[in-house]
Amino acid sequence: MSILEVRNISKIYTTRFGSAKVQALSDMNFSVEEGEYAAIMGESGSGKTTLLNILASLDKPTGGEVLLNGKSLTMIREKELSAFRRDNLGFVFQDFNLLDNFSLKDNILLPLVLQKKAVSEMEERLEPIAERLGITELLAKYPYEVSGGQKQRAAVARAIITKPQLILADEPTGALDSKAAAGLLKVFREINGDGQTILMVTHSINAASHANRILFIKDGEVFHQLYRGNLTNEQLYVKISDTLTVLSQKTKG
Amino acid sequence: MNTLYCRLAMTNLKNNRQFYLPYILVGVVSAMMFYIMRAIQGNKGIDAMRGYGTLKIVLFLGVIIVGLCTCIFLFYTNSFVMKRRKKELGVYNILGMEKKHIAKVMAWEAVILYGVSVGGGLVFGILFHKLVAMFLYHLTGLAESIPFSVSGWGCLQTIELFGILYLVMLCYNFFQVKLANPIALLHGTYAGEREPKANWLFAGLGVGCIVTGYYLALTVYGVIEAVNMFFVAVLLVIAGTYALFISVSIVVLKLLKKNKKYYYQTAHFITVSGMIYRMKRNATGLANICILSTMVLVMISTTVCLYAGTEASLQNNFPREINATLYFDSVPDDAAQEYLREQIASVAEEQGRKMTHVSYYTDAVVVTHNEANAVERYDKNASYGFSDMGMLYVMTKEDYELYVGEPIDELEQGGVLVASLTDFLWDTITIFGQNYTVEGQAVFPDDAPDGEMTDFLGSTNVLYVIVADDDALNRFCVQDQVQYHIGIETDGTQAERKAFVSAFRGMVEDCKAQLGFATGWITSRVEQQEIYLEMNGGFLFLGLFLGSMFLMITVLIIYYKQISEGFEDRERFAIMTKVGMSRDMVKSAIRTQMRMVFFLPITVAVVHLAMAFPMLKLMMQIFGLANVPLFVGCLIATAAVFAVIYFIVFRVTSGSYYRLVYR
Ligand SMILES: Nc1ncnc2c1ncn2[C@@H]1O[C@H](COP(=O)(O)OP(=O)(O)OP(=O)(O)O)[C@@H](O)[C@H]1O
Ligand SMILES: [Mg+2]
Repeated sequence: MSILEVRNISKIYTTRFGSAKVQALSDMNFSVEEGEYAAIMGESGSGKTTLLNILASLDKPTGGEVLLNGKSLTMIREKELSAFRRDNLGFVFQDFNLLDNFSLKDNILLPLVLQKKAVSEMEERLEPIAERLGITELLAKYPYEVSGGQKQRAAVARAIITKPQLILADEPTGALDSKAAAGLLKVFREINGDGQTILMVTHSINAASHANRILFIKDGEVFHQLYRGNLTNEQLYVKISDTLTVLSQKTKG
Repeated sequence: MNTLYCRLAMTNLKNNRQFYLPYILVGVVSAMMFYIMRAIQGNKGIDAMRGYGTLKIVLFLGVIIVGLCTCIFLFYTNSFVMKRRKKELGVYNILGMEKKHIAKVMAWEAVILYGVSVGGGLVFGILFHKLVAMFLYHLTGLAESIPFSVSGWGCLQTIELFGILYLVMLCYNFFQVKLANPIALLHGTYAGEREPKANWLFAGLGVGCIVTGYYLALTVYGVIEAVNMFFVAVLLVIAGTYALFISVSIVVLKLLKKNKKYYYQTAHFITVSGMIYRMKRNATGLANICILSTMVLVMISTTVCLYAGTEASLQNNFPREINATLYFDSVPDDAAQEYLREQIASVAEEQGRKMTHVSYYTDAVVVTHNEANAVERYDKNASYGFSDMGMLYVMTKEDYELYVGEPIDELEQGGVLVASLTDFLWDTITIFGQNYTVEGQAVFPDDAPDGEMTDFLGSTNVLYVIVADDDALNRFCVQDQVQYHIGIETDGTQAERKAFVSAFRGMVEDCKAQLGFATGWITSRVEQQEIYLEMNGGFLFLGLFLGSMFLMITVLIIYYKQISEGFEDRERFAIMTKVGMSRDMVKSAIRTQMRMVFFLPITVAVVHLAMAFPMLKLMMQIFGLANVPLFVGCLIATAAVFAVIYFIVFRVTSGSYYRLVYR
């Protein structure tokens, strides 16, 4: 069963005075299966962030619907949205979005506190996750005291601690150097190996080559898809870069 | 080239109007207040009037305080704005603008700000000067009319003071920019995110200061001690208040954070960590608000109370229209007393006044040292200090009966009645080496004559002794220490009563040689009324003037605090929304923190005020006000009005805060 289904989504931004309209998404269709690790690629301005915001229920589509586990996001009432979001979705952002007045530990626990979990349960859940992400020693530190890669790992911990249906990541390696990026991608692979569904937006071919499926979007539509099949990361890398070349030439032609 | 910098400066001011508009407003208002104060104080008319001089001193004090406050206040605002603008200046620097050029832009900004503030201040000052002066004259009961005028000295000194001030601030800003490298400038706004450490020592010292200050204020006895200890207590509490907001708050919050069960609950989690952050950023601001609020409350309530109580304290301190005390070497004989009474009657007749009440009594007053039931002269032992001082009042049975209004039992030869603040339990009393039998205790129905001495000496060292007759009284007489008291009440208008007093004064002067007394001390309620009005009205004026200035400072600090918090909170709440915090939760979390930050300073201020009450009550006695219910009423009313204003300001400024956070 697909965990996420996107049906005929469109999004039109209207500027403040209604004079100019921007079609960010037009008739987008795709679905993500449980346990999948999908990447979305596309040129700047092709509507990736817009799509992710809609999937995250932070924004509403102009038309179409999004089903999470068969449930339509548009049907959820405004009041329940944030609870829905924190119970079903995990987020990883390009710029980490950690709160500077909380220690890493408290940052990671924030969604659980919002869910009103007991302290004992929080600590039980935190321990294995911190262990796996290699940040156990850093838990008492504050965001300004750790490196970018470590911050991003804390952000991943915060995303997975609620055991969400789906993790949405918007250019998670964007602010990391290549070594930290490689570490993060390894973490993503591992948690995906545990059965976690991940949807990641990225510009980086390297990052995308870790995914099982790559969706290419252009002008607000899904333009092409690539499946890993039996390819290694390196082989997939070559395929992606070929596809991108073809895509950009099509634009010119 | 210069016009380019000037234009750039203009654009900067415009783009940062959120910060500069209040800054300019404050500049204009301070310049206006300084000008008005200086213009009123420098007015020649005030010199010529009445000449009691209190008003002149009060106004001079006003000029100095307003000037000082202006300096501190503008400096505070400037450094706040600078902190916020460091980033912008950093961008200029990185874009390739040399520091020299940045300095030029800053200089132009300062020139523009200075011009607008002083120009606007002087215009409004000149416009409102007459109005404010009329208000002062009304309060102090001066009848003179005030022509519209411009004070040259006022303008000049305002221009000078603000010129120096803006120059110093500009240098400070140069220095700030010079010190910083571009990266630091860029991050200037966000420097120091480090979580504060709980400083137990500082917190303990702070609590100690406040407790000591409170203890001093609560246990003070007597006016002299109150005056002596007041500043010590105030300084202790001010120091303690800063520590309270800076360290004690952090210590408490950290303790709450350590308690996991408490801390990891949705509401507490966000509030506690938010508060730690807020307290670190704004502790000094909150402490300033608290201290300023306390000052406004004390200043306005005491001055309002003094003014409202003028009539009552006049009646209290001058129960008679005319009170005269003539100092004789021995009890004046009947003929002398008779002569005096005739003279008084003829003065009244001459002036056309009807005396509704005339009373006379004699007593001997000696400065003594009292111990148990032995009284000796204070000057007998050179080693006696101030705390050994006591007073002995001796009066005849006849005068005592007049005082209490009913006859009392005969006194034996050598027998006396004794009155003191506490029960006098001995059967005998030794006065200046002579033994007397105590036949009973005397009681004064309202207040003992010269009763304020008891308050003043702050002890039980004041004794009243009633003796049988003039002969017995004469034995206590020392040079100049027999006091012949005259109390008179008359009809007539203010002017008529004033005329009567001068005639009475002349008569007493004429009697000196014939009756053989050296000095006489005459007080008149009409004259005192003018002095009281001048003093209390002057104080009220100063209290309101400075009170509104401090209020403005408080408002500005709150405004800047809200704005800077708005900027900082915006991102944090955006993140929380992303990880699944609902808008309602965000709103209620913000509201809790805002409310805490709002109520904290004013609550502490009110507690300070309540603790200072016993001390303030005593200090009010210096100004002749003993009306405690009135004072309590004034305190409560002032606090209530202040709370309302504070609340309105809070609502308005939190509007701009919410706009920033929910943009
Ligand atoms: N709030 C908005 N109002 C109006 N137009 C918007 C808004 N947000 C995005 N757009 C427009 O919608 C289009 C898609 O933007 P989007 O942010 O989704 O692109 P993106 O694929 O995430 O780009 P990038 O890779 O640079 O992040 C762009 O043309 C953008 O200008
Ligand atoms: Mg984007």
